[in-house]
Amino acid sequence: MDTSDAPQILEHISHSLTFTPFDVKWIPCSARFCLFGQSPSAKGVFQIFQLKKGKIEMVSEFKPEYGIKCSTFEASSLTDRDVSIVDFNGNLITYDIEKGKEKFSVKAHEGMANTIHGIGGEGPDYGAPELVTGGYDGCVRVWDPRQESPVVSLEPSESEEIKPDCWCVKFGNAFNAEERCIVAGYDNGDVKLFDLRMNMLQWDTNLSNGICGIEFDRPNIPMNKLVCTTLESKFHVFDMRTYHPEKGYSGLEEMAHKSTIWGVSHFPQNRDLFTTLGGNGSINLYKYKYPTQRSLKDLDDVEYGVPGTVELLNEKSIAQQPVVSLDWNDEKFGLGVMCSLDQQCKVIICTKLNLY
Amino acid sequence: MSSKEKYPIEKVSFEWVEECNDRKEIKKAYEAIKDEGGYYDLEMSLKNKLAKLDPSFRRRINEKPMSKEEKENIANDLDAFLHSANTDDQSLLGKNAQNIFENPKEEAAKRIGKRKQAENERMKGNDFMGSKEYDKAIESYDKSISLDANEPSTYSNRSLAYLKKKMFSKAIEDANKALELDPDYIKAYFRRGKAYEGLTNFEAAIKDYEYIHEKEPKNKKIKKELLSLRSAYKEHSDKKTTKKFQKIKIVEEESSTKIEEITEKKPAPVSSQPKSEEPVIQDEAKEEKPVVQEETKVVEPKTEPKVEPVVQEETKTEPKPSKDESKFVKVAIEEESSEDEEELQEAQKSDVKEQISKNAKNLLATEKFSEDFEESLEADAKAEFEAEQNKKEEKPQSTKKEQLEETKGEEDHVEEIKEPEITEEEKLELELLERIDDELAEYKNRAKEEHSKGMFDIAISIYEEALVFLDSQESQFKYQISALIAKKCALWNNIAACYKQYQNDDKEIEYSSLVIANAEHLKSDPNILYKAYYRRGCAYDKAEKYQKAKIDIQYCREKRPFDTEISKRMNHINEALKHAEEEKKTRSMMSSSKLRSTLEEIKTEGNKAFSSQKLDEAIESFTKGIEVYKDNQEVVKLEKCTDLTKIAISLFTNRALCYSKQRRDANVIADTTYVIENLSRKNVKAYYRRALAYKNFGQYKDSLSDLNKILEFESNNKDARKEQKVVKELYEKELKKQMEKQMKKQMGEMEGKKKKEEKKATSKTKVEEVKSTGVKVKEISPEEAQAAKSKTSEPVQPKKKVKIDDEVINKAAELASKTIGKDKVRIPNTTYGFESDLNSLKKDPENLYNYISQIPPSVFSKLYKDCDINPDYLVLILNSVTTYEKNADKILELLYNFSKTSNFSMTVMFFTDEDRSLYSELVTKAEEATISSASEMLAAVKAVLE
Repeated sequence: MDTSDAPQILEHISHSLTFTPFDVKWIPCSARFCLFGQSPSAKGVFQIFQLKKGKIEMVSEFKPEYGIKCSTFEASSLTDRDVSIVDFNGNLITYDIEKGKEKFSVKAHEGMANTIHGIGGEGPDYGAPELVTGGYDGCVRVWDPRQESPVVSLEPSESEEIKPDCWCVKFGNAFNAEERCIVAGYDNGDVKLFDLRMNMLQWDTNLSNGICGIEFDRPNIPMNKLVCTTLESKFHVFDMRTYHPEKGYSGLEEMAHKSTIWGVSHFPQNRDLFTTLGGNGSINLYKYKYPTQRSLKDLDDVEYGVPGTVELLNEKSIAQQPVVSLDWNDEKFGLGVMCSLDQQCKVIICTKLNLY
Repeated sequence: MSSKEKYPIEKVSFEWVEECNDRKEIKKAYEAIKDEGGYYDLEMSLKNKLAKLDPSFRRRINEKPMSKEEKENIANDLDAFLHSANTDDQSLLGKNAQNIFENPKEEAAKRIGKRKQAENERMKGNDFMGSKEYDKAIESYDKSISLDANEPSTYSNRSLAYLKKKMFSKAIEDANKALELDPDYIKAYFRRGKAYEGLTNFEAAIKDYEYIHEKEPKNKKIKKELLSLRSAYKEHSDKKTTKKFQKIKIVEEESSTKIEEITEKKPAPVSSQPKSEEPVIQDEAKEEKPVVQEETKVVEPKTEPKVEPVVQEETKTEPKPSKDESKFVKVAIEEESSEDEEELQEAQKSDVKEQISKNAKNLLATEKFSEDFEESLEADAKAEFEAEQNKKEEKPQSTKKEQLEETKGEEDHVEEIKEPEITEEEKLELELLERIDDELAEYKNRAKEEHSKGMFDIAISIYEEALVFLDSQESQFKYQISALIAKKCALWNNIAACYKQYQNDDKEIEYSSLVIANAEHLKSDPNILYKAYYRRGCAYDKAEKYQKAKIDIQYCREKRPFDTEISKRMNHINEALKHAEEEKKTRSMMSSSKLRSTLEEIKTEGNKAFSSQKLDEAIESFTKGIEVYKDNQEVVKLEKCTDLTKIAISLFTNRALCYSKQRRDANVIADTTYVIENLSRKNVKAYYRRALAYKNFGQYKDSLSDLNKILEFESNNKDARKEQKVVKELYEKELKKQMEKQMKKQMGEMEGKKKKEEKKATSKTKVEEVKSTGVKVKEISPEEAQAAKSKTSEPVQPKKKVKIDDEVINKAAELASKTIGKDKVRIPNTTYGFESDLNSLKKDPENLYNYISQIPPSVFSKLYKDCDINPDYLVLILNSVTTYEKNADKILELLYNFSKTSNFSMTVMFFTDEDRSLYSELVTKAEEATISSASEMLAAVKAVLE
């Protein structure tokens, strides 16, 4: 490959904010995005921006009661395009983005809710719409967006003195209408994979550092890869294709950013490319390379997975403070929007990705 | 990171940067300097150095500023996206309604959703391509196409997937579809070219590549492809002519065998019922006619002058065994259209075109012939039939005197066979056969069409369909079974011919063998059999199985002794055989010196590949070397060349190293075990690699024993020692874990029982345990829910595990003591072994004493030379010694040796008062000792207490 072939990460538009942003998401099938956060007066902020030629313009703004931590569009259909969020008070709220009206609201967690993810918005082929939330109380709860009580609730046992804090949770393995699983990461380094169809814990492991970000390479295929980012500048990539009864899933560990890795974001157009969000304000672009053989047999003739390697394609320092959220556009390969704790929101472009 | 020691940046200077070539070192220094800040020049020089050493880093840092063009491209791209996204957005908001009768929002959502899903599936397909799961990729592309059939890239990508699966004709189909949708799709041209190349249709491939080259003259890849393809084309041009010949042959076979069938059966039906066979033949002839004409069309352009000589041979071979047939053909033609004798002779000389057209005419003739025959059947008078038949036979005789003799013989034959009567049943069967023939002809037509297009795999699948059809009919036949099988054989033959086009020798052989296996049914049609033999012979020849090829070709030669093609083949095979034999001889004769040089060559080759990180190549060459070595093992053994075994060992160990780099541990173990068992029992490398592999597999015990072996050979091997420590720790952990597991299981069972009882009493507990669970959990039985629940909460409370430890160890100790306790003579080699023994004997003080007393005391000081003895174990030993040992000498010796262990005074310092008194009690006992150096030893022992 030529030297000029490395993808470049360009800062397209930079926008200063008057509040602390926590999450940013593209509105599906549009050039608009939603920005969520908390104002200095501890109120919530929910703004919608329109991307125009060379600039972004705020088109509407709503002021919810509590600061918003995380959001998702993935449980709503294209007809609705509703966003579901969790806030500092532990509420799960679904908003109509055009009117800013609450459509559904439920107290999901005691104390703060940290994370939310949705699935099933694409239609009946991939199952019913569901939301999953994780909170400070250590619970992970799955919701039907029309029901007041959770469908499934995974809770730490009562006897636990220090309850772990659930920092991130994601859906995966939803390749047909029945199969579905959730994976959750906790502040004590636990990663748990819970099969929703069988209703059982499928796998768990401890990565010794708190799990800040977790993501399957693609939620609507049979589990393929899982990336977990942790405190202490490490991230792990697991091959989720082959499960060994004793070793579990095999994975690799990689150092990056020299600080907490706040999250990971796969490109929707290519599941083998992903970016990690550094606490040092940089984003790293990686490519996962599969090994020649993805599984081998041990002496007892039981298959175990073989992790591949990750190649750092590029890195870019883009903020002064941790990058907390980055969302790649579904329609445009390489167009992303990110926000960082130095109260900046940026539209970025990643070039030459189609070569990888 | 930051907690680790800081990189000593003092040492980094320009000179140091100049000299250092360690990539990792430079990288560390670069990062340290960058963090430190303020040394811009030094940072730059480090950066440049790193770029020199690490190509992937170079790619990252040498970001060229964007050219204007690039910037414009990006901007335009973004504009286009903004435009399309905004229109989508608006229509999703219900503003750009296209159809006022429908809900505009939902309609838009449906439309856009479908498009999005199609896109999504395509991307999934691309992902699967990336991980080389081509079947899944094709599945996704299929789905995408079903949602959106107008996206050229989906077709083009599926074409690539088919290409990877070597389904070339499908790849061509998809590439064509993509080009239909987008005629400027360069990638699709490329893929089509590749597919043509796969089908060895070089002309078409070159055409495609040339088109791309025209469009993109700067594309170097295409230039290369074109060049290599052209040379390949030239090389294959000789082969190609034979291939063309092959093509004709197949086409011909179709027609000629058919004709042969007809002609043969007519005058001298070998099978028993000439009468009832007639209608079948008639029908066949009718069916065949248009086909043959078509064939002539196909063949015509391809049989240009170049091919002629070859064809001549073909036709030459044809008439000989079936002399009377061809003569009959002549007769028939004469009867029909009174052609000149000269022309006939010319035809005999075999201009293919004419030959085939003649065949067609011939068919016409036979058709007429059979029509007459039918008439006679209708008359249903046996005598009349006979007379007719004779007349027919006589007619040609009268026109052509020369043939009289031959046909006469046949005539007799005919008369003989006419006698058996035809039952109703047989008639029915024959009718069925006729119908089957109709169907078959259809299949054959289709297959031939594909064949002529070069779509051989489709042709094969059609033939296979036909075979399945025949199989399904087989049960209905009783008398005509051989006729049916003959038909099958013809199909097999054709399939084999198709495989020949793919150069798939194995399949070709397989199908030809099928034909040959059914030889008994082919008496009526020796030509099919002959062809099968010939084809198999050629295939064997190609696959370098000359012995078998010889047998087959010899058969052909017997049948057609004057065929030059066959004699050529024969010569070739004989030569090859000779060559192979010679080679074998030289191989077996390979002297040790030659072997040495070849092995060494291979080894250096492999090492080179290894050092340039090409593991697969390295493994390949090592494997080659190992094969050579194994072939010549006897030579080595005979001459007792130790240096050769040394090379072999290094081949094995190097291959093991490659495997271990690829994490193929099972292979590593196989290789190293071979070395250890067969070549050298003292190869440290092999032991070391095997130990590592075992470690990776979690077989710590085996790993440890290997490492111990190494230390036996080389006691100061640092690596092994280090590894030994690591493995030991792992082993201990593993043992602990196992014990825990066992314990947990037991506890779990107990708990489970308890809980089940509780459950039975009241189901309320569920509500308490699984707080606010919803529908899903409720559906499952309470026990299951319990299990799920307890499982999920388990890892959250890891502290619990620690509590169990003591109990577990005790329990395990009890279990183990039963087994190990009896094993009396055991002198531990390692602290670990000793401690695990102690653990197992904990509950059995008597055995423990026996165990300790049989160990010479000096062993303890050796064992604990580098590491502290655990006070718990020490107390355990002291306890057993105080209760059982009476000999003061022994006590003293034991104590003295303990006092020499590492940090013993420290250990004693941390004793509880009880333990301390135990120790001093022992010391007082030891004072009675009478050994020579007792006083000195006592002093040492007592010194600890102070």
